Amino acid sequence: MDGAYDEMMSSDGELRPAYRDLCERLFSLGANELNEIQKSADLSFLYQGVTFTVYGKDEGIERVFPFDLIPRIISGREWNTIESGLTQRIQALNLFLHDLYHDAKILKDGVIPQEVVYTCKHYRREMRGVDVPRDIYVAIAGSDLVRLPGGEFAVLEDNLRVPSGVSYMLANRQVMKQVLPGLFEEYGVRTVANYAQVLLPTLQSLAPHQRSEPTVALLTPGVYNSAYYEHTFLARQMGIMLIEGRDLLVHDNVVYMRTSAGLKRVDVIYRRIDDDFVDPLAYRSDSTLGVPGLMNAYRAGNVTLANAIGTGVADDKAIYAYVPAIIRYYLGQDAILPNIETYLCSDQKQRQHVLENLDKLVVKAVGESGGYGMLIGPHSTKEEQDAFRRLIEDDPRNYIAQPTLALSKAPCFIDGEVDSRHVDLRPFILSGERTQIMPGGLTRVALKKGSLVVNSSQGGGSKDTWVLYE
Amino acid sequence: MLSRVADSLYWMSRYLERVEHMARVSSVNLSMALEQSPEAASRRWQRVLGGLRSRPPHSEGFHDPAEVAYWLIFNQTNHNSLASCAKGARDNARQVRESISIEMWEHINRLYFRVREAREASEWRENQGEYLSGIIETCHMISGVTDSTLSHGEGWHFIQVGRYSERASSIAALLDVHFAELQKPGLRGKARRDETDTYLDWVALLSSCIAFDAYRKVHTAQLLPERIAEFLVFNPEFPHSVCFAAQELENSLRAIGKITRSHRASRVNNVAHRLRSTLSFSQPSEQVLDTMNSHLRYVLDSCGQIHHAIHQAYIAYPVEQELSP
Repeated sequence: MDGAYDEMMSSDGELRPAYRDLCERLFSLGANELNEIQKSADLSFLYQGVTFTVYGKDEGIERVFPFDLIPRIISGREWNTIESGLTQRIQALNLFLHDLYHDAKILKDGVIPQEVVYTCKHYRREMRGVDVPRDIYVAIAGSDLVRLPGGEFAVLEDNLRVPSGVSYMLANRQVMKQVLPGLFEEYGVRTVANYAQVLLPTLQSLAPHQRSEPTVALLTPGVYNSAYYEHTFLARQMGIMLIEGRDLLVHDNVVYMRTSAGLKRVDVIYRRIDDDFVDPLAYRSDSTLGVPGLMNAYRAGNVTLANAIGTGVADDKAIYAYVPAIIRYYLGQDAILPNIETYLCSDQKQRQHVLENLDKLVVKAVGESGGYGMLIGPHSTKEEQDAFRRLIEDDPRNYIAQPTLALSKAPCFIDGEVDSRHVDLRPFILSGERTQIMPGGLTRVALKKGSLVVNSSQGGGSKDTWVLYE
Repeated sequence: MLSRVADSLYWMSRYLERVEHMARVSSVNLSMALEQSPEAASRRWQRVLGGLRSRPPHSEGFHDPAEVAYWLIFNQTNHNSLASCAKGARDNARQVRESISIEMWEHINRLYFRVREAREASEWRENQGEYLSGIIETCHMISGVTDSTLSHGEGWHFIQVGRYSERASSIAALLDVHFAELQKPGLRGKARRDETDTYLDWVALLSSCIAFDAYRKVHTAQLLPERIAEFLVFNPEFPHSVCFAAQELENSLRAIGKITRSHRASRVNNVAHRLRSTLSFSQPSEQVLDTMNSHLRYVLDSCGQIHHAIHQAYIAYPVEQELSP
């Protein structure tokens, strides 16, 4: 797409300084050698079982997540902006969630229209008046950033429910160090390897307060979940148990897991299951992934869930439009990282604009993720546009639209040649006693030429992301 | 350790042992078939299938050894096939990836891909012997990697329990079929028509338990049924004897009982103890062949009992007991 920011080249055709040494090294290797390196990297992913599951067929298929050899480089200066911007954003969103589930002052003050919040399907009435440890609702966030044509980063969406992808960030780095070790010595690349060492104390710091030496466990939906590899990976890295709903039971509002030595109490659950599935008594009664009675134990304060129940209201794509206002309301600051301009279809005027420009805009369902439920105007057919027109008219609250973004381009090694592809960036933000951000993240790549969709389920891949000291 | 994890480790290990056993039995019998009379070979395959507790759906049609072996190894409808077992091992390992070492997972994963990819590949058709020894090698690799990379704690002991209960019962089943046939009237001892066939049958039995060399070191190359039976059942030092497996089984179950301090441990420990003592203290006699069948039945029964008792002690115990103060 024209006008996209080029990560490697400046507009006058010069290599950006951060990419100079990298290019020199890579081009000195030649295509054959690069092919060999790519092969050995791919094999390493296969044998390690770094896979995700693609849905839609009769049974899920395990696939290796495509990995691109050429790292994406972010300078220390650029990173500082990202870091302070995301810290500010997550702190404000935690304050927002606490307010929303207590006095809802922000609604009374008219900053956000009540109906936008109360019509959100991820708003959980059960959480009203429930106190969570340290008032932290979002302990783990993975916000998606894009780089705009001018070079500045903006937030595309906040993933505040069960963000995934961090294991790929770590696996990419590990494989990169295996196959191109020399490069690291020349660059000062900041480490992300200590992610689990940061995550574990974050989770421990959120334990119900009377519990010393809390037992932390990771709750997975099981082997058929697309992110199962990541769940096993994180549990191993933290040295905590990987549990499934069927391992747990609730008695007198206390959660236990069934071990070979008898029942053992669980204090903090890092749950990788959506709200809807955590407790068949509270939410979907057909859920076999969850634990009957978990919600009551949670509301009684006997167990911590991370993230908290009901965080989805804050990453709703319609609420997203209000995040700069949320930051101003709670922190009295301007947002450091800008939002993408967003049209709410629930608003009559804005809806009109969206419907008139379906061929130019990107339309998204507010509660969806993973690249599902989306229309990319410029790449769509007339029929698809008409289908979305009907969807929007039927349920305007469920849709928002944004201008089609020229995601920045980064060099990739594809079919034996270097070519550029669109990328985004998902850094991971941890909030416990304090807010910490791993210097790096998952750079996702739209591997199909010209494509703007980076999701793994839709033909996306990823690459290592280097944040430099300088 | 989570009950579910203990269960998966146990099954993972049982499946791996089964893969190795089946690869070895198939490999031995394929190579024996090359120098044996067709009549003896067909009897042998019936025995092999019986010893592996596998019954093909249409047994009359099975004359070609390669066809039988293919069914044993790759058939997907055969839940006991080597490929099914390799998948079973990997599925269970995948359930507990965070509880086994990375190295174990990688090798189990490789085993799975190796079996899966060979199904259509020429690798199998070109050289079946080489293919099967590759599988056996991978299995040895997995057990070595397991012993040297995983802490010898509770999880490792569950793996041991899976391995040795599978080993004890699969060797017992193999011997049971062999000796039952041997005791049929007219086939006993030297009464068999063809000396060479008999000799090869015994070699095949010993080799199926990697015991040919070990046996010769103790008893020389003189292959006597009594001694073979005694060696494979009662020898306390040979890793593929029933007695050895029973010792390891008892040791690991005791260790698990200690680690978990479970008050439910005693029943399963008692069964394992009784099995081990019976085998250790039995005085093998000239009449070993007459009591063989009842000994082997006892071993198979005990393995079944241990399997259920483990389940009741550690995996699916009644929760009410735990919650009552």
